[in-house]
Amino acid sequence: MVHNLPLQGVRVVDFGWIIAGPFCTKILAALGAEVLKIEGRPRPDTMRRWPPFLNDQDGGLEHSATFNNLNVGKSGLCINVRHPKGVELVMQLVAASDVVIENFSVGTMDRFGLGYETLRQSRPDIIMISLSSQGATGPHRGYVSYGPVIQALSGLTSLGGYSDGEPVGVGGAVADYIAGLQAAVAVVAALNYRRRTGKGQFVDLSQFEATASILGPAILSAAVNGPAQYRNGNAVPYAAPHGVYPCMGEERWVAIAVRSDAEWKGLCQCMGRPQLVGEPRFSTLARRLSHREELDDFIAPWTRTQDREALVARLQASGIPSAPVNDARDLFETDPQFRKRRFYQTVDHPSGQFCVETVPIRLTNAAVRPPTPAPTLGQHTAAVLQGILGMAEAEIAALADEGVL
Amino acid sequence: MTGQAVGGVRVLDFGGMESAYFTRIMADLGADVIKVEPPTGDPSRRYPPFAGAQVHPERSLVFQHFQAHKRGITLDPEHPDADAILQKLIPTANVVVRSGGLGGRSARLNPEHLFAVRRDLIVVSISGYGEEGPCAGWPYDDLTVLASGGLLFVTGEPDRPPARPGNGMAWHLGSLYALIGTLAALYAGHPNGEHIEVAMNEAVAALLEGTALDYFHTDHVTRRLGSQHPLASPDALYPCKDGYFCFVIVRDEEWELLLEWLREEGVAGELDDPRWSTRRQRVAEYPVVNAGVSRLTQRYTMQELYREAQRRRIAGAPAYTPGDLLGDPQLLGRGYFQKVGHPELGELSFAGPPFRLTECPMVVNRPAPLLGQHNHELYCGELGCAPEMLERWQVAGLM
Repeated sequence: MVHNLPLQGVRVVDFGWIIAGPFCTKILAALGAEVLKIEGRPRPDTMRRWPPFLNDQDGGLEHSATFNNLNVGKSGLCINVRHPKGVELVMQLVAASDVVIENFSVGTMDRFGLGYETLRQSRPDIIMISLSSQGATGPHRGYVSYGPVIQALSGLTSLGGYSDGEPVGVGGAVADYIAGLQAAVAVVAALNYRRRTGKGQFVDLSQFEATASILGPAILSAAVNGPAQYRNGNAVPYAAPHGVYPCMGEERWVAIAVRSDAEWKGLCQCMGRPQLVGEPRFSTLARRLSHREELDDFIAPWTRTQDREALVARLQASGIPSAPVNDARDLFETDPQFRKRRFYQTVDHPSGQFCVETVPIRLTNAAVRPPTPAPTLGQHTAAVLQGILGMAEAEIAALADEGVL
Repeated sequence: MTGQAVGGVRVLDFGGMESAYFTRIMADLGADVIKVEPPTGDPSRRYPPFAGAQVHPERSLVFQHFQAHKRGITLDPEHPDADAILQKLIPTANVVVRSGGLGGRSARLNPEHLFAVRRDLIVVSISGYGEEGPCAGWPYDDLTVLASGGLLFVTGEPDRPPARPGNGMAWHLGSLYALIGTLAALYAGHPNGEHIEVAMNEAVAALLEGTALDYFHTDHVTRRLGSQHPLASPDALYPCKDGYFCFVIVRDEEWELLLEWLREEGVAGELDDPRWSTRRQRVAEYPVVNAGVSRLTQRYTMQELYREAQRRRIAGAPAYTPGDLLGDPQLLGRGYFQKVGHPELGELSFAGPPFRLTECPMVVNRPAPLLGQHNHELYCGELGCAPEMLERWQVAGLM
């Protein structure tokens, strides 16, 4: 029996733009929330102009695959919040909604006349979540940044790379995606609180803090033990061998992680070198850790002679944690698991067919909503104003004439 | 407790690293989280770094960080006598978490068995590849899931093998989606139970930004570029006197602000030319741009650059190490760090909450449990087992 999605009945007024806010509401929409994405006609979401584009069409507002992927499942409205009637409309929508989300720079919503205290007058138990680079308070709240800057600031960038190389970090705007994920956690947590107490609240999410919170034990370790060597390539202190090894062909890599003596034995047998099992310098994890470069010198020449997929199959059959280091092509063409689970899907949009990444939460008693395409600019303005606010067509047309929509 | 986001919810965590962050945040949100360890202790008790470099199962900072705020009991669910215990323990929980740790291998912890014991449970399964499909049974670790999910390939320097992000990214991503799903199920109510399943390789793949979309739509395979961003310049890390500094310039107006600074420093060089005024040109020749910006950054410290960049409204910040965070004025000004006392390790300074719920702030009010610390409290105090039984079970390796 399929039940309702868990966030069915939750309505979100979504001022999110670019990545952080939209990534959050994409997840909320997949879990059943009704998301009303608000854009201003003169200033639509900048992501609409971000590549890759359908059919390589750079231009227009409706061809960005990244925008589509981030904004599936939402209704799109154009409301001019610089017009007093636009503000009034938003307040009416808020009165009928549960959550407001925004990721403008600090103070922007206040300047629009849509700060938390004002929104509460429309709906006392509204949950408002503001995502900002460094938080709504504090000496640096006005600082300017982008995702990679925040990743660097958070310490995450310093944790990636080689000891004799530069910090590398991961991706470009990863901090924006992490903020969006943390925001989704925060919204659902706040909904739980409201269900129990009847109270809404303001949620202050600093992307800096949200990203620093996923460093693992690095901050605790720095506080207790002082500075450490942070960039160690693929070496970890709890497994050896542990790394990325080249296979046959260009840029074909395999990742292998051997945590235990049992897994080490399995690897030796796979390599056709059972005698290595008895080798004293590799006989315990501690010894393997201190001889990790020598281990890699046994493994890499062997993997270089192997077809990657066949190698992984044999390693897995021997119970050794391993995987192909998939590139983008592999994700679609080679990997059987993504295909089986239909992680990548397509949606039909007026501009054509877009590829979409589904939200990786599976609920057995409710099917996560399959994606619907991102809205074209202002696509649902009339439908939402009629449907939720009961406005007449003539009224809507008049507002459009006045530049409110 | 009305003061917390999640109240009156008990979470039994049979998982390993997969669920560590998930149930840590659940505890910080107000859930009663019980970490169930094998009688010999969770494997992460043996993971470095150790406090004061002293190797000891109560001194692993990996364990201390992820398992803070949880109570701890021991149990071997595979033990012949475990069934009777589980029949008493499971019904006390609202959420049972299983993963590749204790939960994945144990038949007694598979979802059908759990729902048979308590129908309205939320069962959370986090694993490397999910519960179905050709790779469902594959053993995994953070590194191999990052590989499968496509993130490892695009991380690192161009001329070297891919290098993993050092935070256990796959563990964190799986946990984040598990958090969202679980909180959503709690919100909605779950009278008929709910099974939430997260595949970590998908959680990783969802973080690839435009990489997969780029292949699907343009056949382009994204490669590693180090800290350089493929679509903007300057957008990289630059060496400075005491570390590295990150600048990101996207709009051309922002470039003009940085160029002005370079000119004032007398290091603009060839960059002082209108041909660099478009993003396209700067990206096409990013090594030249980066060399120019480095001439500025290597003159100053991280903090000097940070102050001046922000004064000029240029998006730039130091590439902090985790230790640097401890002295950051914004984090200190916001009271970000949380202090918790530990019986043997003294006062511990933790990373703060990932967001601020102003009505129901997240707090950490106990450290990670000692091994079996709450066995008596739970098995005897709550489930009514006689203390002599507890002792016998501990000797028999059940707990």
